[in-house]
Amino acid sequence: MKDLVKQFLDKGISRRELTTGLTAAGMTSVAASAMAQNLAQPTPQAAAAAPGAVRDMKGTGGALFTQQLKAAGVEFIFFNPSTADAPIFDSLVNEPGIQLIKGVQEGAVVAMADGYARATGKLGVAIVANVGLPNALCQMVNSWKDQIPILLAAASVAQEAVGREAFQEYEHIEQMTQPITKWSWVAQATEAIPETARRAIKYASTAPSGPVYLSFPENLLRTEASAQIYDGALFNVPMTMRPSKDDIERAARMLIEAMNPVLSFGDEVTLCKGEKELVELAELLGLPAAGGSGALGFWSKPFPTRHPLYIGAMLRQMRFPGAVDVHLNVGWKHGELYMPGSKQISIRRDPASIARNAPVDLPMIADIRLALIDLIDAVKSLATKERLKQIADERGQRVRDYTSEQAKILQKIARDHAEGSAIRMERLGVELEQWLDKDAIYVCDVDSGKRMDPFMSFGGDDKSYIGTGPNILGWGMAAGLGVKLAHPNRQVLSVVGDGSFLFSGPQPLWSLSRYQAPTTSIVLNNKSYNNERNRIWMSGGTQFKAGRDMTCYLGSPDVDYAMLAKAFSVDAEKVQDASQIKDALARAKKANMDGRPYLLDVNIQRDGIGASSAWHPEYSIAGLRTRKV
Amino acid sequence: MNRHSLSIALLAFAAATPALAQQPQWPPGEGREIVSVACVQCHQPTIIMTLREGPTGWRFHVHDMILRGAQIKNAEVETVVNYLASNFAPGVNLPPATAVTLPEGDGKQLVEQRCVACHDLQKVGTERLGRKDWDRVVGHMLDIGAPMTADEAKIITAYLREKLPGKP
Ligand code: HEC
Ligand code: HEC
Ligand SMILES: Cc1ncc(C[n+]2csc(CCOP(=O)(O)OP(=O)(O)O)c2C)c(N)n1
Repeated sequence: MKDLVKQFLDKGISRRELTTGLTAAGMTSVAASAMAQNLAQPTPQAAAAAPGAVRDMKGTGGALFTQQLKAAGVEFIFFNPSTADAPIFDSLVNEPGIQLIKGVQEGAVVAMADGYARATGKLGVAIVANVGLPNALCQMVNSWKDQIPILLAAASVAQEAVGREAFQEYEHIEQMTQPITKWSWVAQATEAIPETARRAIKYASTAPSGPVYLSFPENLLRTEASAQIYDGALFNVPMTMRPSKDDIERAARMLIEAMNPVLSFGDEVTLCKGEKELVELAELLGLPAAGGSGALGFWSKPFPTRHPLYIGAMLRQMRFPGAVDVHLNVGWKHGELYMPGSKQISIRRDPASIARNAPVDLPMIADIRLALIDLIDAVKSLATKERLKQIADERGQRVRDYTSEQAKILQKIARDHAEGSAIRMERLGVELEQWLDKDAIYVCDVDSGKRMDPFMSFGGDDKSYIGTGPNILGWGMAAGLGVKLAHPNRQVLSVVGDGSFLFSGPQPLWSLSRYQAPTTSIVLNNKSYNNERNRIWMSGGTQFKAGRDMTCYLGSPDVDYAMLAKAFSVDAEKVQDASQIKDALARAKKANMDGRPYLLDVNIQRDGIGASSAWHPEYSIAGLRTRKV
Repeated sequence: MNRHSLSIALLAFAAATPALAQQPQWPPGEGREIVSVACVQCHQPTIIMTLREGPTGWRFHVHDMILRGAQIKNAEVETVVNYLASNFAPGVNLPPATAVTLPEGDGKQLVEQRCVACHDLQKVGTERLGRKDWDRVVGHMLDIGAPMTADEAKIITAYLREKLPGKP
């Protein structure tokens, strides 16, 4: 065991190899991963003892900033340059430790950083021009709502020019970022830049994490100063908070004694890397586990969707499992709204959000993973193995009976759509499930995409799912690059709607091409804001009554997304017919294996209400003319 | 984000105040107990009450909703489809129609007879569609349960293509 630990600390083996080794040596998997986690995070004392943990440095403001980032473990900067932030990039000419990744629109820059941060749990750093800041903010709403750690920075006009109508100055632009950042700051002095950067990194990363904004007056970036650079471990303290022992015991008792309990879960499980423990708890107690439906702000799937205890979306009134007496909500901001009248236990990592919109009987603020470990231990200590097995078997059997029946519906729907030439979401979902590697990462930025998900399996040992909770579209292709950067050895597919594609524009293709990011992008081209139209028509208003879609049709012009990709030297093809899907996917995989990105423009069928007609309001500006000019 | 997602979220808020969700008068029949619970969890039932379709059309919606998270058990799917397809079937309980005058021509009468079982002629008469679109629309109506023969559909399509043409 000692040898294993030494090998790990010397970086001879990976954390997974360590955990496997420790389990093989007789440790429980929970204890082994706790030990690995502790070893992976150096304590402040250990870091302080390490040479170079705090060092003096002289340099431009730009260099002080990038060196502090590097010392905090930042490896990538996603950017789009401006003249004023040149000293930042000057400082990287001879700095191989930080790789620059350029985006050609600020939304794409932030979405790449966001995808990277979601896939790693690390800070995503983005630098944009001050004039492009508003472009960046739209995508940063995704990061804000989902609590993704992003440091967004921009150079601003020199201090002596502030307020004097300088070229491209618009005053107090940092205020624009305030509603969607945890912290927003203008650097005050060159020598304070590392300290300011540390504060930004800390606020962004400390749970509940989220975006921060830093503005650097350009004179501060240019001037030289001396300052101290800290190793990240000295200020970036992990929030490994455990819940109170009494609360955990009370919760354990309630869950053991419950007649008909249910478990709901959310993205905080993913943010705390507690997926395994969540499954372990559900299995230990035979708890039916429910997640959210697409529209309710989910960006990850922390519970395996093919697990026999997974019952699908949490609803206000669940026909299965019926009247619930104890509801355990783990890491879901909306979870507390469900099951009113039952005893509510909620474990959350966000103190501002817990018990905010609904009453909670037993609220606990904690690191989700640690809380789950404690809860599992408490359950085990309060009941004998035999009793727990009996509970899990009895409850679990009911759940399994339900979920195995539900799986048959899915199979039936899949069979219904297995033939025919039209490409339907259901058909594509089944094809993708066969095509994707078992450890693939599926990046989803499409409204209708939510209907493909059930045909694919995510979570556990299976594929990972990364989307955005608030669905601010135009994120997916750029985020796919960030995800691939984080996991170059895993297959990455990003799926976007044609609407979503047009929100980002083709710009993410530029970065995919420039950096040879071997991802596959699929554009679900249904020539419509399909789901938006369904939702609009659902209200039964005049558009529905008159059968006229005033807003959502996207055809005319019928955009050729494959041609757009080719304009950026990204190989691409159109998939018109269901019989072409398999071969097209095979070509995409081959291109990815050869190190090239690939795009499929898939002619997906519109569906739902108002789908059959392509009517849209015709209007010609050319027709307004009385002269041919 | 958009209005409907917002109202979906609002219904979730209604979890805390159940009185917010309005229960309409669901017609009696086998399946009522299931539909009146399973179909009001995410949106108001207005659209369900408004549409008129045959079993194929309703089955599509029910499958679609199951994919989105509606809790219908495998053994109940057909009961639910039958309930919807008989209570919200072509011709059942239609709201008063808005009068629309269609251009004269062969097939006009057929449209007036066949195309009013589920909605009024507002939906048809204000449309100006390309040839392919009329094919698709009439095909879709047939798919979801419009009571007409394939031959009648052909006559109707030809009439609509000629009399209510849009861009090709
Ligand atoms: C079985 C019921 C039914 C019958 C009969 C029917 N429709 Fe429809 N129609 C619908 C429904 C439901 C919608 C709205 C939802 C949708 O598009 O599926 C609709 C919508 C439309 C629309 C708007 C475009 C669209 O895709 O929503 C047009 C145009 C239309 N119908 C034309 C016709 C014509 C022409 C006929 C006669 C051939 C006809 N309908 C007969 C059910 C019917
Ligand atoms: C888990 C949430 C949920 C439940 C439960 C649910 N629906 Fe829906 N329903 C939706 C959403 C979301 C839409 C909007 C579809 C879109 O965005 O395209 C919708 C739309 C619809 C539409 C309009 C057609 C369309 O495709 O948009 C019909 C009809 C409908 N639902 C019927 C039902 C019926 C019948 C039930 C019960 C079997 C039901 N719904 C239960 C979420 C739900
Ligand atoms: C940046 C942004 N603007 C507007 C919206 C509102 N909106 C929600 S869904 C949607 C249509 C999406 O169309 P598409 O990506 O083609 O997906 P489909 O519905 O066809 O599956 C729009 C415009 C949004 N979510 N994000």
